[in-house]
Amino acid sequence: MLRIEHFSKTYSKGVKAVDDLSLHIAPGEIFGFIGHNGAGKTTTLRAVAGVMDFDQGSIAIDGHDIRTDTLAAKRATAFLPDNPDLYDFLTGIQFLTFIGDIYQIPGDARRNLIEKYAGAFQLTGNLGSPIGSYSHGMKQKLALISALIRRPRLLLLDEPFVGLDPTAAHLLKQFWAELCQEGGSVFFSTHVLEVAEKLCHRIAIIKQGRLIRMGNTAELVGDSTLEDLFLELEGDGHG
Amino acid sequence: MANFRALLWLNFKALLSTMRVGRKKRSFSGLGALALVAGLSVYISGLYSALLAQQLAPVGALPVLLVLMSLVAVILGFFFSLFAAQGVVFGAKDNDLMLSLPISPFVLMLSRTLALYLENLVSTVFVLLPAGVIYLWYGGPGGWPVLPLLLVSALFLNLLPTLLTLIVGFVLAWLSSRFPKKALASSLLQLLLLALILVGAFWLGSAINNVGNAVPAILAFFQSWGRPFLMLANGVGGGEPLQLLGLWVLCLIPFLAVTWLFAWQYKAIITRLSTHRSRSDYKLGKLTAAGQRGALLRKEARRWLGTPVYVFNTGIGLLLIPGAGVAALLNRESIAHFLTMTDGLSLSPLLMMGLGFCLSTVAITASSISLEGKQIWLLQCAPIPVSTILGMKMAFQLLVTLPCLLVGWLLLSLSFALSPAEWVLLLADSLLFALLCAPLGLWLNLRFPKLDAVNDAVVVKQSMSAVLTTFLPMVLLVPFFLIWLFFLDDLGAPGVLGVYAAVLALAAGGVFALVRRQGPALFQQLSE
Repeated sequence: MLRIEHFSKTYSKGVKAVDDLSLHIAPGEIFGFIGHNGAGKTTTLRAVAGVMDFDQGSIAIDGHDIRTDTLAAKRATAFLPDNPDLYDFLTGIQFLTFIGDIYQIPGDARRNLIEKYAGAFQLTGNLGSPIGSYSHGMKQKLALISALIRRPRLLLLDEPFVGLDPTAAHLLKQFWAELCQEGGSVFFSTHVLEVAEKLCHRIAIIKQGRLIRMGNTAELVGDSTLEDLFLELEGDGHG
Repeated sequence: MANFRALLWLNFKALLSTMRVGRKKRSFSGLGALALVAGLSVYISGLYSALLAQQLAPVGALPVLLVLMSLVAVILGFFFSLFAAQGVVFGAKDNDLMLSLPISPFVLMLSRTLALYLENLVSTVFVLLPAGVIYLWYGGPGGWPVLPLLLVSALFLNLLPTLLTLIVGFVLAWLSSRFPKKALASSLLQLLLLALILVGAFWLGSAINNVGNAVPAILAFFQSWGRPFLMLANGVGGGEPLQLLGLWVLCLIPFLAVTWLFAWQYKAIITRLSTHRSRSDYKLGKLTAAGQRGALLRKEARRWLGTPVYVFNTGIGLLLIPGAGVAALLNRESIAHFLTMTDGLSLSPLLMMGLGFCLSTVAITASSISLEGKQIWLLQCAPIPVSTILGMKMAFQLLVTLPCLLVGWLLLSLSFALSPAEWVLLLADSLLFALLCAPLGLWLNLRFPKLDAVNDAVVVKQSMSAVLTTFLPMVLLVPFFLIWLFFLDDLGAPGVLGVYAAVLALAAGGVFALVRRQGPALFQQLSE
């Protein structure tokens, strides 16, 4: 579903954010991306989403290269940044209609999908209000609904659990499982290691822009915990 | 006191640090904004003061010049900082951070108000000073002490526009937080204010030629509510220190009272203003689908109509064009009479200058990238070609401009008797001018984006791209003026318009090509 080959990104003044990263995510897989602040997680996710250009390597989503077949790659993807700022001047339903039009979701299907996801996240009643009047959690839910109604092949999420209440977090995990059953994949970054350990089929740990460990979650963690493994790899010791 | 100084510096910087060159803030950016306000104030004051002084000096009523120009100073100060009061004092985005600091809300409010006062002071001083110089130049009484007294009085007089912007800014912020159609309510209120200012300017313009005869009526008018302005003239030019002292007290007391009142309740006010209630009774109905282009156009329209400061700053020209047409139609007989007196004045190039000036102010695309702000990621990851995104931004500007232009042109064509060739070319020139402004604004905004502005007013009123997009097309009217000046006899009015059409077509084509070639890459780099 996602193939990243030798991806590198250097910011101005020669700061290398990501260095020669390669990873593959198979259909039906939930893939966790872990690292300390500034390790290069967000840079990678933004490059995969086509929001940011990069220096070296290639990224393909569902067989479409993000550089040469950009629109097809973007059509297969739904990306949510860590703090999804939405259009405050639109109402919730206007925003979802905008997304529906941009991703060319047919009217009937759009209504059913909005009904399903907005109902599940208990946001239907608020869809007539301007997004500017929403709380942070409501905005987060609306952003998730806008991503899920696209029926993406690849769901890209940067810190998706920040700001979500426990019910919404539980629902989100259910919807991920549903997406994966249909052949889609989830690629997300998180600092919540317990969640990553429980949810992810595979995990990659990145440090200072370089991939330092990747593999099946159970095999990587072994008898230890993901937290222990992470701290060990980060060189912070065990306390 | 150290806290207060730090806050004042921060808030003043927030008001001024709005222009950006490339992606780096430059230290001169705030000074640039101040210089712009100062320059505009000197220009307006110099022009009106000279015109008024010519009328007032022969009848020995020069002090009336100080009365009128101090009123102009207050109006200009109010106009320049109206949105700043709404945005910085009552609608600042850093309220949560500021209120969590160990600073009293009272001090926070005072620092924000003082920052507003300092911004206003620039326009007040640069209106009063040229007026004082012209007053002395024409032999106004009082001698050289007039200038230092005017400067000191400016410090007090400036409290009035600050007080007014504070009150109106509060009302605007309150409207924005209370009404479901808050943007519409706010836009209507601002348009009402604009109409009052335009009526005032029109009154001043029409009265200026007759001001010498109207001195007693003006003085009677200022005896009542305009008393402070009369006191300033009496105190500064008439050597009446008590009047001056009275003026200072009259300005200071209401300002202190209102500011204290706002400061006392500041935390409650901004908490109430920032509390939004989301309704929870929406029921999902039938949803209709549209195309990508339609979705983008609707988004641009909602953004424009949903942001009063955006409508207000870019929509004046749209109103002026048909407004000028209506005015021309109503006054066509007096204009025709005037034209018979100006032997050989060619009207069509003059109309083109006017239309060009109005079209320059419709700089919608100049802010459309910056106003995407932190939401830019939504478009960057959307499966739409960047050329379509940029194209729809230009299309929206043309969509609101062209109907107004066509109505204005039609009304003007009914008002004046010009040759068919001139009318066709006038329409062609103005259409090409509009076609130039839309991509120019977009390209400049891509070159000088401001995605992290503290509020929308900063982007729309003071950002580099907004300022350049308004002034560059005006500069493009200069070659037209030169062609008109030097080649009118050889080419005739249709020839002048024809040559200018060719120039505009080349310029518009060039800027379109620039957007097409550089736009996608510049757009993709925006959030990096």
